[in-house]
Amino acid sequence: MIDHNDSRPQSDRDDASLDEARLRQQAIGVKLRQMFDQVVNEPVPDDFLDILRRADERKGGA
Amino acid sequence: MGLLARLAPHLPYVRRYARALTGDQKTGDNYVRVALEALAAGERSLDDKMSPRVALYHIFHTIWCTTGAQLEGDEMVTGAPDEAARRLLKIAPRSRQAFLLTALEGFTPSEAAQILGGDVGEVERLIAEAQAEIDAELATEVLIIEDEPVIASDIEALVRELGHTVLDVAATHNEAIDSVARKRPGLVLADIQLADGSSGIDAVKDILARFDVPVIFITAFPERLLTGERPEPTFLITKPFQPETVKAAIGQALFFHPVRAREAA
Repeated sequence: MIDHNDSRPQSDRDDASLDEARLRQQAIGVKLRQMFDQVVNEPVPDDFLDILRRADERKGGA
Repeated sequence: MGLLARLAPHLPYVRRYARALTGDQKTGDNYVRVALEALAAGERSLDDKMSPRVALYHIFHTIWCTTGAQLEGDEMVTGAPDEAARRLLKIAPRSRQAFLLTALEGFTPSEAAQILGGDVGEVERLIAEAQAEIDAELATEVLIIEDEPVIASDIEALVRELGHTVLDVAATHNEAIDSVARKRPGLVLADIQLADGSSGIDAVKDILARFDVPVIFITAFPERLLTGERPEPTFLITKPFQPETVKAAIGQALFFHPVRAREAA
């Protein structure tokens, strides 16, 4: 099931190992998203929105 | 369109990224705040060539990498709230960014390159480096409970490819118990139906009664695990399996497993 005598060119093997790394990282990413669900669902701190709102007002009033 | 309208939808996600990157919400929020203030003061501006989300992350990135990345120390790693957060902080800053931008935030390598101010080739290299660091961090000793020699040797080979050590291959419930009595594995990969008619589920239950260890069942009979008999915490992979699937499950199981609880048990 696992190819120990890989005869493909080096660049193909690099691509394959990069694809595999990305697949394995996505498996971790899915769980990280669950872990940080609460951060995404909680309200953004008011002062973040205030900073942007004030900047827009200054621009609009200028 | 104003800054508020363009950026508000992306703020929850940049906060998540900042939290994952710095290991702490308060610290992460501080960098987001500084980035927003720089935008508001006109010291930075959203790059029109980028989507608003990419441009926001790019500004956050320039702020964080001139200050935050330089200030990281070991105390941040040891003070992290849980195992996964601690493992994230152990990845070198730039590889950690490439990893989180693609795997957590869902950016393409080309978007990640725009955010990091690099090119796609560099992002791919960083992703590979992050994987090498994760693999080294997760390397452990594995017990394989599997009675079919061909499958056992396939599993052994892929476990070794990931940099793990194979402690034992047990073909029966009793062999598995004897093995863990000699040495505790850091991961168990278990078949369900074993050679002498014994059950891999029972073997795993006995092991978990002694100590905490992540378990991945690899079986042609998944229904036997879905009938309420499944011990926790466990992962399930159906035979015939794709090696990549097993590798992804191993990484996931180990990355999120609390090491301290295992050592304390």
